[in-house]
Amino acid sequence: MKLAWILNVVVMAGLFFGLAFGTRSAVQGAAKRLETGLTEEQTAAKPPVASLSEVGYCTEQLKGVLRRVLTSCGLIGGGRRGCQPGEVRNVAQINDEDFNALFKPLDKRAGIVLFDKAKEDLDEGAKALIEKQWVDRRGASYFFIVARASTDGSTELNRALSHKRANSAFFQIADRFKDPDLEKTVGLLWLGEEYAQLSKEFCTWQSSRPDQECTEEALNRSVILSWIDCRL
Amino acid sequence: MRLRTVLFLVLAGLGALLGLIYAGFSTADFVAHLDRQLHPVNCSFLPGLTETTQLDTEASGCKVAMFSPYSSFWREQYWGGIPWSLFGVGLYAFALALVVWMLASRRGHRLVPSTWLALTSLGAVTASVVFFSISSSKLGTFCTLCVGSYIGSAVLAVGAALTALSAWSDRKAEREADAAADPSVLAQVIAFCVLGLELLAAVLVPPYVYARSLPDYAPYVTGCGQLQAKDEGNFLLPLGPQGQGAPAVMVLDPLCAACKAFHERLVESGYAARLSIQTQLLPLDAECNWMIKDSMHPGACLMSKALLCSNERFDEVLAWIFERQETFRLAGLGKQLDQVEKALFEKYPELQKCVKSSETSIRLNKVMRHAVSNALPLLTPQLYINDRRLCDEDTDLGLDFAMKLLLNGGAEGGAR
Repeated sequence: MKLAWILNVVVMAGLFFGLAFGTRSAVQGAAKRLETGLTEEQTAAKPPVASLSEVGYCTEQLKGVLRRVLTSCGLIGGGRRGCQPGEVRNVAQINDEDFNALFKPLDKRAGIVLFDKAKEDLDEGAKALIEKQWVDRRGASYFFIVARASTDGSTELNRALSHKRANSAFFQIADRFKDPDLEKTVGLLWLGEEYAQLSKEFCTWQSSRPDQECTEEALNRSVILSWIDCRL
Repeated sequence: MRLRTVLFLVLAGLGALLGLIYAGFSTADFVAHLDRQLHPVNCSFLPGLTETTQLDTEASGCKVAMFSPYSSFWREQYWGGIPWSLFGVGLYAFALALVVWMLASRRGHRLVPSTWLALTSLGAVTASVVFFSISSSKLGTFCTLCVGSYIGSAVLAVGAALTALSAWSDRKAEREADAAADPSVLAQVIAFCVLGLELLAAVLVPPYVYARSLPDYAPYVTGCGQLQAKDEGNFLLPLGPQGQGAPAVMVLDPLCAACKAFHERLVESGYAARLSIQTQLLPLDAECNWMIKDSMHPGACLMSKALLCSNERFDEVLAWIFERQETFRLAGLGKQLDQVEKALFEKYPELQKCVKSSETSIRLNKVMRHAVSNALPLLTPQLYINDRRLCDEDTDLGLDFAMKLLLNGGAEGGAR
């Protein structure tokens, strides 16, 4: 009788110890993995985080030029908007060809709005292209409106004309979309005939007048519109 | 104690051992998930001997059972709750220990131990019947480990019943040989109480130790990120009743199957009613989402625009999209977006003008830029409650615990 109950104590003690120890060690094993982040399986890679665009053409040189232009032309840090030809040349600190070369990777992203000689009025094709370009923002931060004039007429006249063309595009966006972000987003550059004239290389870019013959004169009576997919 | 009784005891012991093995593996699988990661689960009649992988489709029944609300209790107090299988472990282990003691002490024919063996087996069978009916009526599937423990309890019950009968016969024969062989009534009452207490302890020790050993989960549950930017541009769309519950933001892609399932789960669990949910659209479709190269859900941009245009009918349009999600998803993957568009505008022709407008494209772009402002991970679904993110690791076993914590604003002393 006595021996039987001694056996009972031994068996049940073993049972309780086994239950308690087994449970505790299993839970603590999981707790340790939880604390150290170690699992039996490979830890899954963290998903990427939502971010603005940064595409391949965003070289340090381009970003440096853009940063200087944006700062001096009013978008970064506030102040007045826009840069004139002389200012752009000074701010960008690069020559005409290099300036244009920086923008060449935008061939699929940008659009060229063409104007009549000595005019700044937008035709229907121009309005459609401006809307298309503005809507296709994706992850871009800044929208550039770079206006030019051909070499017909005086330098002063062309400077003023390119300014008016830039404004035409800007006001078209402002009137059409009434976007409160406009002031913080759009950079205006008017280059007149003095700086970074476009060569016929740009004839392959989409334009508001695809049926028009592409000459250098026609190409420079224009505004180039593009979102810039770079984080500045 | 005659040989027949010994054999019946051995049969009961085998049943208890079977039940212990299956309940033990079931518990071990549950406990493995306490690290908040996904693990393969054992789901065969030879647990531990067959290879397990996470992609094992045959394990789906065991996963369904384990992740169901019926696998554990007190889920709001403890991360994952206390698994019911722990009681099974205690019960079967006690039965096994009792059999071992009855055999070793040669007292298997005595009234008290044979009665307790029968009562223990009755408990095991009752639990098996309850969980079997839950599996068939609520889950619609059976987990192999559970079935194994049902079999174990049946064998235990048969063995215990035969032992009781045989023991009665043994005692009768013993009394005939020696009238004073029976222990006194007092001794039997004491023995009955002692074994009863031992059973109680065996059943309660594992859950008690389990609950005491759990780590503090609060830092993990509340450490998966926070919303950083306020919605100052009506980028978020209200989903369901507003103004009653805690503020919540659900990040979803209308064509994401997990989003649909998660939303359904929130509604079914009753948590949706405790939240004022705003929707952050994040279509994983490269047509409008510049952050991905390949579209996971082609057509999701179109559906997101439809939702942006739906205004007060947002809930209705989302429910309609979710209902036909699989069809739309497959059509999108098959580059048949025109069919998706046709179905949308046939059902909601009044949305067509708005969906196709430039303003809606710009609005969707701004909605997604709001996701950038919040540095949201590029995955769906996500749920933020009181600006804190519900971790992906807490959407299954830890959901109730995490929801309680996040609904309280992430502050709860001593949370486990």
